[in-house]
Amino acid sequence: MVDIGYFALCLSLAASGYAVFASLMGAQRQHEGLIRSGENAALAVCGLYTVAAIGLWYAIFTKDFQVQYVAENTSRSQPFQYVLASLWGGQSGSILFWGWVLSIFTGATVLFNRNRYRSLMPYTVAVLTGSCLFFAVLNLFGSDPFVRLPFTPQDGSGLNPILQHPYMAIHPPLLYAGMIGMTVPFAFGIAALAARQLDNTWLRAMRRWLLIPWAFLGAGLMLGGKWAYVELGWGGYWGWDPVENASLMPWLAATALLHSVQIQERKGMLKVWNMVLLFFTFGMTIFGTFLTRSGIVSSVHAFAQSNIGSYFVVYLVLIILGSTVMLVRRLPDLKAENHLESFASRESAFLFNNWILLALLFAVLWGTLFPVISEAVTGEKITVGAPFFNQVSIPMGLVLIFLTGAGPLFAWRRTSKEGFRRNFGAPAIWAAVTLIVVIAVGVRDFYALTSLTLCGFVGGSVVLEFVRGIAARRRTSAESVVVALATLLAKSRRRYGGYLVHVAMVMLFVGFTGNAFSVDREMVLQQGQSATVDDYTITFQTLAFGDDDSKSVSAAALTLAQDGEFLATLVPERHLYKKAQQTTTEVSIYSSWFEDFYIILVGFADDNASAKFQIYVNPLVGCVWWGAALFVVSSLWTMWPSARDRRMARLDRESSRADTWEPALSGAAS
Amino acid sequence: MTHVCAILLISFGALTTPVAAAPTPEQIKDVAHDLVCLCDTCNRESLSTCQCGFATAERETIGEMLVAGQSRQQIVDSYVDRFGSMGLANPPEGYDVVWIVPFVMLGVGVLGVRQVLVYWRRGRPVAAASVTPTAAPGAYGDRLRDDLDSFEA
Repeated sequence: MVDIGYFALCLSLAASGYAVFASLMGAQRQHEGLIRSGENAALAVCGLYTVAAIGLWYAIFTKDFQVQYVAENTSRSQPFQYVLASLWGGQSGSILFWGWVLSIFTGATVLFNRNRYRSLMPYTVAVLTGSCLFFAVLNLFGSDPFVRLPFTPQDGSGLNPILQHPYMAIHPPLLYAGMIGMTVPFAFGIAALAARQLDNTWLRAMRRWLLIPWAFLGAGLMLGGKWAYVELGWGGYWGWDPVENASLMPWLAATALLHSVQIQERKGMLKVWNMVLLFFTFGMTIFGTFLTRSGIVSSVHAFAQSNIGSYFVVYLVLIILGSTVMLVRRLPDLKAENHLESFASRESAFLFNNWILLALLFAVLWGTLFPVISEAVTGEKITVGAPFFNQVSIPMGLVLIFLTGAGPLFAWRRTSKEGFRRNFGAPAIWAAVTLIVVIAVGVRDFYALTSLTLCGFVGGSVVLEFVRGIAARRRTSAESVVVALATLLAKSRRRYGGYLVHVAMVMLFVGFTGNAFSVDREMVLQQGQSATVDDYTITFQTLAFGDDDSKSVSAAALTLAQDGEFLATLVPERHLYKKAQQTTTEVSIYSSWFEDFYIILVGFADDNASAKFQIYVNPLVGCVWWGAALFVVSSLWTMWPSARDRRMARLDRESSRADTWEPALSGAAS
Repeated sequence: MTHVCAILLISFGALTTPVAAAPTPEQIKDVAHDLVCLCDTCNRESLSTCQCGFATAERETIGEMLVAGQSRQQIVDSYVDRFGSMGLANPPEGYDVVWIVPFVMLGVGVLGVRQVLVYWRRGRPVAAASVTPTAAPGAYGDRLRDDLDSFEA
């Protein structure tokens, strides 16, 4: 199986090479047969990559330790579900996984567009299979997962223990799907330039392919946060680690793009900017991967040191040069079709949205790269840590959340003074009420006050939009409020699904604001001793020890009470993984609807009579997880095809068949 | 990050007998907040939250220095002397540029947006009527879509 996997990888290299060639030749000669052949080759790449991935998985499952990757990333005692995760737990396997997911995206793009966007497709396929080609080259020449050792070790060293967690089995695939999926909209953008079809067709073609990875990336980021929260044991969910930053940056860029394409769709403006932003988003995914895989920045994540950086540099340079040249050649075709009627308009609001998102992105990029830059200049190694990122991103985040609420209140083209008053009135009142309430409950921190007030403002603006939508429906039909709301959500998914995403952002920001009030206590307790933290009383009952094949477990049992009422028994643990001689903390969390009581077992005295605990009380942290869930649901809702989408798709297919939109291909297709 | 360190369980006899003058964990953390963990695997997590053996030991050192009456600055300086400026959570003096640049870019961005808006405002109005059915087929499709949009809105 391992040999079959390797062979399949070699074949996929050849097949993707052929797919690039056939697609480009087909497009140039307008030869439908060649174009189809290129598409079929792309499907073959997908199949071959699948075989390669199965080959490696087979080696992992059968514990074929002669394969170096298997020996390094799995072991006999590793639980089944994490054996699955070993496929992407190490460097070369994760690159194979990357290529495989990319080939699935490629295959899906081909299958969904068999009868659509015919003039764009050959170039799209060429770009996608070209990327597959890169990853196959990277795997085969830079980091081969199928390499065999000259001997067969008795056992492997196992997956890094901190990765042996359910969230870690889902988080990397989601994040990868998000990073990799950005290749598809990029490919459509390049195709639009190459085919010189620069109307809104390509935007329509790529919209969902942008939303999907964007949602994946967002979900992956938040799941990573959840993992850090429950596994890493420092009481937080976001540490501004370079790898976290590397996946946040493309998400920010894609968020900016999702907003600014709307100006192009509606008004035919920002055409060049959107292309640049699209290329930048894709570039950030590759740059982020390079950043974290090449070892130039130090990071907590597992595969920091490697030699594949140079491959990424070449790839990145090719992408930048290629897309810049294409864009410059097509500049005359990208003239704006419209002009701005008023500064107080949705168009301006979207520009400001782009401004703040990109400023935030730049700040994150700057902080991440600064140690590298400054070391190159001064020779001194320094750290740019979480305090920098927090201090810079909090004010920018506040502007962002304000714009989240304000943007939708501006009308397209122009907002009259009267309209401005009408639109801003209710949300401003909501904000004021929120401010009074939070002051009344005793909040005094400036940032927290500002943040919660702005969250109230955004909440008010979203409610206003829904109220207006419902009222409009009820004017024309005798629907009940519930039916009107449901119809609104069902029919205008983009708009109202988008507002739901805004609500999710508000929840996230409320959750982030909770950090301002978190309590941090460290204490030593004797067995039977109690201590008070906030209004909780914690009593240390006993210590217990256990052992299994892979690890030794030490656990402390504590009872948690509030106002004299028993709440829960908490069992924080420490796991010592025997093979890696690595200790992990297993935190214990009691969640109420308002806050989390979070406890870590730091250590214990030799006689087991006392133990040291780290305790955090984290208010509002639940809002982060609920916000994340709403983000996923509402972004899925936004992209789920509505009846009109299906009708548009049919229209696209029909017009494609009739060749009315495709003069370039009319000769070849007939 | 924290526990990647291959530490063993910590024995801390000293901690079980608190002295009256001993600093509270909060005082120690307050100083440690300015520093980052520099063991091989923790990756510069804040020294105040890191749970690895290195960080725990360093926090104890900070506690001892506080007992000895050293100031916050002296403790931070001694950490930097031992491990280099990398141990500081924020870049040391002379690196103000790290703080300034993001906000400068923010300002430059506002100017950029303003420029674009002014430029757009100057642009000649394009009458909607000029988009005739003879225009590019793509534009025609767009109009069709817009019509469908407004039809269902």
